Parts: sequence; C-alpha cells; structure tokens
Amino acid sequence: MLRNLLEFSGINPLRLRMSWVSASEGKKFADIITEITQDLKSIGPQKAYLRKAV
Amino acid sequence: MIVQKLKEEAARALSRKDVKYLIGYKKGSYGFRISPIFIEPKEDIDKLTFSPLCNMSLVKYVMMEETLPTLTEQAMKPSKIALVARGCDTRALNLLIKEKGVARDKLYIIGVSCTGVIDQRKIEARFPEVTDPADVIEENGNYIITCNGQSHTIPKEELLADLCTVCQYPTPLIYDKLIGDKAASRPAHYDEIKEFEQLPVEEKLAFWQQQFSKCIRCYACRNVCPLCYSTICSMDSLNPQWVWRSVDTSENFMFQIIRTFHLAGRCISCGECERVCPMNLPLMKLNRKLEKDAKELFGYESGKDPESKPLLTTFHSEDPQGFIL
Amino acid sequence: MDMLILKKDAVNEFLASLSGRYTVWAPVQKDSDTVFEPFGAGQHNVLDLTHQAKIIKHAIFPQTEQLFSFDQNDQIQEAIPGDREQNILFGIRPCDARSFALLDSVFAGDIPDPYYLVRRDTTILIGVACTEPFANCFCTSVGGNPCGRDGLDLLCTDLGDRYLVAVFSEKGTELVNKTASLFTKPSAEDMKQGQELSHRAERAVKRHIDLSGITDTLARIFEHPVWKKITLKCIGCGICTYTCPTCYCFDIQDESMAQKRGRRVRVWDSCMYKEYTLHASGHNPRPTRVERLRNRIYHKFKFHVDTYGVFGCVGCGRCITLCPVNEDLVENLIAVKGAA
Repeated sequence: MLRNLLEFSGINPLRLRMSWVSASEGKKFADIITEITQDLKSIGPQKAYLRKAV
Repeated sequence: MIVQKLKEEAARALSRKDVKYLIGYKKGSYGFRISPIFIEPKEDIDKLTFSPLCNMSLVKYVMMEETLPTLTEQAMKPSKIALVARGCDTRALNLLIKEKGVARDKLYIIGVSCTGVIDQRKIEARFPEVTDPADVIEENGNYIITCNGQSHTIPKEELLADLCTVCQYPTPLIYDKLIGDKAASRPAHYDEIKEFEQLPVEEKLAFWQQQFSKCIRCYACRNVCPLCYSTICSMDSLNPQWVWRSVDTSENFMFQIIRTFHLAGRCISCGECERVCPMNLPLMKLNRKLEKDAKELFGYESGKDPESKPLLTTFHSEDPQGFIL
Repeated sequence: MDMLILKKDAVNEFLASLSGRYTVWAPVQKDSDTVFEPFGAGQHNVLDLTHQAKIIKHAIFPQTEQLFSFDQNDQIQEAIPGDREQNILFGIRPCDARSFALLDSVFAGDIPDPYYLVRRDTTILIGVACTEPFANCFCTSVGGNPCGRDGLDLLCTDLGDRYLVAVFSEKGTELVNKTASLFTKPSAEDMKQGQELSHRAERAVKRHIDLSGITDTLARIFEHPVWKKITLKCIGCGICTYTCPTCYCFDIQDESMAQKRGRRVRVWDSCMYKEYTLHASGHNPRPTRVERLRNRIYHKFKFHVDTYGVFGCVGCGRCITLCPVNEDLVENLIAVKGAA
C-alpha cells in the first residue's frame, strides 16, 4: 500500500522495493541490489519533494 | 419527524443513571453553521436538532475526554457518553472500539440514518455572507433553504457534499437506538481516484507538489480526525524529530504522507480533514486512494463492525505479494 | 490627505506597472479559494477583492523564517532580510491593516525584532474599504472601522467603476507619483459618495458586542464555570490562531542537514496545541482545552490590553468563520460578560 501511495503522490514506484533476504542469502542480496541500482540509474536521481539545502 | 424522535431518544438517554452527558447538534451561531451541544442530565434538550447542515462529526469528542492527572472517584465510574451518530460516524466508532481507543460500554449511541449532508463551501458560495441563522430541510430530492427571510429550493445534488455521493453506509452500523429508516448499504465507487491513477507520474507529482506547497502545517486535519488520537503524535516528537516544523514542500509532503499512511486501512471517509483545511487541500484524495487499495488488495473495509480486526494487524497467505522481489 | 480617483479598469495596469519594481501581494482566486500571495504580472492571477483572504500576516510575518545559519566551523550567518525589495500589500481590508499596526507594537517593543521590522518597513499597505462587511465582522466592537486608516498608506473606496483613493502617508504619495498617469482628481460627487459609503459601511457591520469593562470582568472571573461551558466544543485544531491576523506566537527550531550545516528557524505555533505549554518535566499548566481557549481570550482581551492599551483583536471574524466546530468568539464574549 505504501508503494501505491507513493506512486499516487508522484514518486516513481521503482524507488521503493521490498524483499525478504536472510543473512545467509548473500548472492540473492547482491542480485537484488544490482537490479535495483540498474533500475534507478535508468530513471535518474530523485527530484520530487527535495529538502531545500540549508 | 427525525428531530422529534431524536429529542425523545435524547430525553430517554439523559434520564438513564449511567449517562454523563449527551453530545448532539444544535443550530450554529450564524448563517448555515451547526454547532455541537453538550447536554447534561436535567438540562434542556430543546436546542437539539438534526438537518442536512449537520456536516461535522461528533466522534472526535469521544476521544477528547480529557482527564486531569489526578484520578477522582468520578473519573473511575464507568459513565457513558451519549452520542448522536450518522452512518460514517458509526464506522469511526466501530474502529475505535476495535482498536481499544474507547470501550463499547462507555458509549450510548443514538444512530441517525443520514441522507447526506451539505458541503459548507458550496452553500456559502451560493449564499455568501449570511449572518442571520438559516434553516435547511430536505424534501423530494431538494433542499429548501430559508435564509434572510426568503425561501429557496435547490436540487440536492448541487449542494450535497462530494463524499456523501460515494457514501457506503448511510445507516448507522452500531447503535443503542436508531432513528430513521434503514437504508441499504451501497457499493464503493472510486471513479475519481481511478481517473487520477491514470495520469503519468510527472503530472501526479506536479499536482501534489502544488498542493503540498499550500499546506501551512496547522495540523487541523490531524487534530480534527476522529482516528488520530495518539497521546503523542509522531509529528510532535522532537527527539527524534522526524519532520521539521518549517514549512516546505518536502516537509509538508512527509507530514501528509505519514498521516495518510497512519490511516491506511483505517480511514472511514468522514471527510473532516478536507472540510476543515483552511488551505482547501484535497486530502480525501489521498485517503480514498488507500481506502480503494484496502478494498481491492485485501477486500477490507474499515469500521464495518467492531469485531473485524484492523487491516494492518492481520496477515493471510492470500495477501497480494507481487511487489516483493 | 490627498484624494484621488483610480478607475477599476486601470487597477491591473497599476499593479502590473508596480510589479517590476515591487513585490505586489494581492488576494487572488486559486483552487476556488481566496489566497493572499505575490501577484505576478506574467501569471494569470484573478484578483479577488470580494472574499476574505484566509491568511494575510504571512506577507510580513512568514510562517517559516530563517533566523541564521551555522556550520561546523562555528560560522554563524544571520539571515536578517537586508536590502529587501519593497513590498506592496494590495487589497487588504482596514481590519487587516490595523492588525499590522497591532503587531508593530509587539515586535517593536523593548527588544525590537529585526526580522519583522525590516519586512514591515519595506512594505506599503494599500487597503480596500469594507463597504460590504463579511458575515462575522465585528471590527467596530474592538475599536476598528470598516473604512479605518490605521496602518494604511492608501485606502481605496469602491464607487462602482472607480476607486476613491485616500493617501495617508509619504510612502503612499511616492507610489502615486510613480503611477501618476493612472490617477485623476475626484469630483465633489465622488467625495460625497465616498463619505456616504463609509457611513453605510459602519452601519452594515453585522455583529456587535459592547466590550466596555470586559478587561475588568476578565480580571475577576478566571475560575468561573462559564469557561468550561464555552470551551467544551473546541477541538484544539489551531485554525483560529493560524488564520488570526493578530496571533503571533512562534516556535524556534534548529534544523541541520547532514550534520554539516544547519539553520535556526522561527515557525508559527499555536497556544491551542497541548504541546504549547508542555514543560520538560511533563507538567502542563494548561492541560485541557478549557485552559487553552480561556487563555486565548484572556490574551486578546486582557493581557494585550494591560500591556499595549488596545484589544489584541481586530474583529475580522476569521476565527468564527473558519472554526470547524462553531466556537464563536462573539458568542463566547457575550457569555463571558454574562458571567460577571
């Protein structure tokens, strides 16, 4: 539901990902992070709702 | 006549030994306003009323019973609060009871079957700056409005609050006494949400950035919500401070999203937040989006009865998990 | 005092020509609401002088104001707005202008507040006379007038297709001189009409209450049961304080980004919140809404009078109109008077 809400507010849903990874699933963790990194690189940096620099 | 029956029930409620006071509606101090009234036993119930102008929820007062730090004999008695409740109000009460926010035996609910209430902004735009108290009754799909000595007949749909057009439970779901005819529950409609969902992400972002930049963080939406009753709200926490108090689109966004998410699977669409917002933010858009998701993803409707468990405290193996990598 | 005529058709031109050199604030229609914000010459803002703008104090007393910034090397950079562009607040009502005059006494007191004062000194106030008061206006009961001049540099009275403009100050004269081509001299008829409208406006104020002696009454009835009675329906939402033009309570917070730089900000606060008087010990001298709403009324009608000699209220009626539960200040004051 959180992902849907964020998408509804204009944040690309690719930015919030969830997965179950246990401490012994090293390869799975690496694979997921690679996948997410690739997805994020393709959509570029977050521009929505940025905190103004102090 | 609903008002007559309401007064009879109110009199009966106040004559009970276990009722502390009754919360109902009375005519407001000017124009088209309605005001809450707190009547103690032996006090006059003459001012009690019910009309299409009753567009505020009284449920908040149940949660606002402030007890000073010292417990007295009085405070420990299981005294009841009698309350006039419309359909949406009883959904809130159901949820509060289930969440243990209030005990069922602390309430004496006089349910009133509601046929929809008037949107304050709409009627005040139609009849601006009316100071003398005005009256509205519903008749044959029209509102008969008496103000400034004149009578006007306006079709109901022109003044009806938008949320009432998608109301699912016009008849109270929980009550000790019921006034008015039982109306069947209606299916849920989320057309305006579906329409917004179709928009591309950039347009959604532009819309909300514009809206959130208007927010002045008066916290009225949170303060008026019957289901926001934490003794310490996360937004007021200073250590750690999750969201800065300064007004900025990013902080405003965080506040609104956090509040909406704290209502995920809970909001019963009474619309008080949107009604009171001084900056006219479309807050119900966010809440109804989650209400739609709760329905479509989990088949859940909040506040249907005091037994159904809160959505986010339960897990079933059939719950959708497509989003998990 | 100079009197001039400005045609209504020329108002947009007047504002547009000033927009280059000044930041012009005006009440505009936005999302079916009337908001008071900078009126950009290039944007399609629809001027709205018929409805009451919800909040106006943010033009001089912003919701969030940076006081100073700091960094890890203990460098502090004050953020007092210096060299600020001149601001014009156009289309405010006399009660709103009077509220700034009230805030002036507060912020220019023993310890002058440079943030507020710089903004105030660089702001020119152009009012629109309240020939049709709003539903809950009660300015005449608190020492105000729908066509009053307190705090204003210019006052425009609506004569139909033109405004009768009264110039009260040097700042106002300067402004008129800069746009002299848009102004003409009023006729005797214009002056007469203006006067009649002023008198009518005063009679048109719909809500009244005789507040003579209220300060003394309040001094006596602090523990009276009337307070519980009138405050029961308040839900502590804070809308009254945020929209009130004379409410000025604020909180000061530090914010830091990535622990490298930070800033101290002042933000609006509300005495209607429980946290407002919450002590670090956990004790709260105003634990319930009864004490808090009572305090608000005391502040405006006794404490402010004791300190500054005038009511801390201009009778704009916003708290009554915007209160979600119909806590009606005039009604409450009547009840308070009755408790004497």
